[in-house]
Amino acid sequence: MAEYVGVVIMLALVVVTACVVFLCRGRVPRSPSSDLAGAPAPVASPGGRTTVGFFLAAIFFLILQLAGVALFGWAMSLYPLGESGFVAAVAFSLPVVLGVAYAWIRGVL
Amino acid sequence: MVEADLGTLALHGFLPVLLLAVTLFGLAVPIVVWIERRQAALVEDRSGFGPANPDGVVWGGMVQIFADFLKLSAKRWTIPAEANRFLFCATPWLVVTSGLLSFAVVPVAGRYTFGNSRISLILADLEVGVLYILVLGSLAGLGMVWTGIASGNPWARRSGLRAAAHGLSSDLALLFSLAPVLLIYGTLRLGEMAEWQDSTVGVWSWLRIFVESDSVLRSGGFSLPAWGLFLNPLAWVLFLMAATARAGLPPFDADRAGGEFGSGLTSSYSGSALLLFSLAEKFQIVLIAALLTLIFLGGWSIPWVPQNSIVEPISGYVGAGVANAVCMMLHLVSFASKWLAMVFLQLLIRSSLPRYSSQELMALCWKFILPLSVVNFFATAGVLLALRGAFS
Repeated sequence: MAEYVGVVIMLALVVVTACVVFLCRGRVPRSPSSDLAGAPAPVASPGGRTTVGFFLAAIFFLILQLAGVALFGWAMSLYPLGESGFVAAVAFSLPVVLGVAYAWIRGVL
Repeated sequence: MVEADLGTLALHGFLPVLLLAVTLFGLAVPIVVWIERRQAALVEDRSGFGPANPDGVVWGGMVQIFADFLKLSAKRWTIPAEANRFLFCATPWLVVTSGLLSFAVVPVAGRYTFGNSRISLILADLEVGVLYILVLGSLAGLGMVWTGIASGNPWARRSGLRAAAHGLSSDLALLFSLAPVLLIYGTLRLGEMAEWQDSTVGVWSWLRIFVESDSVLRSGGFSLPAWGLFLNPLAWVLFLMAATARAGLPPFDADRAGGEFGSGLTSSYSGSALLLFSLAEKFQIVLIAALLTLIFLGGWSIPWVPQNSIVEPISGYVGAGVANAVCMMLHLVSFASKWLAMVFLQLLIRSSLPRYSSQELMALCWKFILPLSVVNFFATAGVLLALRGAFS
């Protein structure tokens, strides 16, 4: 754990700096939304409907990220695992790749 | 392993942190800002700094960078009425902290022996290495999304959603574009990657580097440095694209597109908070250039001149300590030269290419970088195993 000392010290320095800045700046005033670039007051809440594309991107990200985590572990053990590890990695990745390819062909991506 | 009490560890850790902070804030970031503004001015055929009269520009424009810093620091800023106060104030610090902590695992030179001590110019030589940087990059992306949501206005919220979608897409592209070179080097530590590249590859016998475990090859004929750029150039191109997209730098800055959504994510920010976002962006440029240098350009190594061939001849005249110091200086100059070249390349791309739209960026990540990276990954693994005789 000694190698993390530098990281902890950096983090501590940033936190201390942030605390000092927050304490020294005084109270930051609130501004009405009409001050934003001279725009009129909003007529609706910023929340609302979003396109389903964002959700799909997140789902595919989850699936591929998990596959990537496993493949990174295999990549670090490439030579000890040999050709059997290669075959296993290909077999592991094939369903994921086929799924993404299907999504691509269907126009989802 | 070094055993020491907590106080000693803290002392030995504080001085390198201070040195890193001074190098970043006092040297690297001002240089990046200066190159960015000067290069953009040259590309656009204008003066850049100060008045049109070149005599009015002080110190080539470097003073203006610090003047801009002072101006933004002192400027008054407000919190919109609809904003979440805590998140609005905290997210700039989250974003800049993630960028700053990434430099803890970035070495700028190798390992050198001075008397009984062995010194390496890296703050934290973590075993997870480059994965630590990827994780912090994701944290910074999360901070940008929170920035958009916390601002409480529709432009920033829409930009935040774009930032989330772009971040997810480019994160995967970055992960898989890096994987092939990790297969070649067999390590996640950036220092070990650079040390691995401190050798040569015979142009006509390039296959041997994957077969022989010795770092120095005796190959006949013309040889190239064993850099990742030459061993897997496709990975270099894909990593440059994915890293630029991940950092949200132009031309992949559709999520914070100025002029499309007001000022994008930072529409409601000004003053010191905007300064933090600007600082985080500059950190990304510095970091990407450092990663390109370490992973694909051999880091601090001098082409065709391994470390031993510098230290041993000089040691005979002035001793090992001075020889190591000379080698360290030469390596620092080598690293700085390559890093400057990568900064120049990034900023040239920034000045030259038009912005990708949100749909174009996501299509680029999902339909170009990711598939090519996966193919490159498995092809590299297959070739490496085949050269080791695995499939015979």
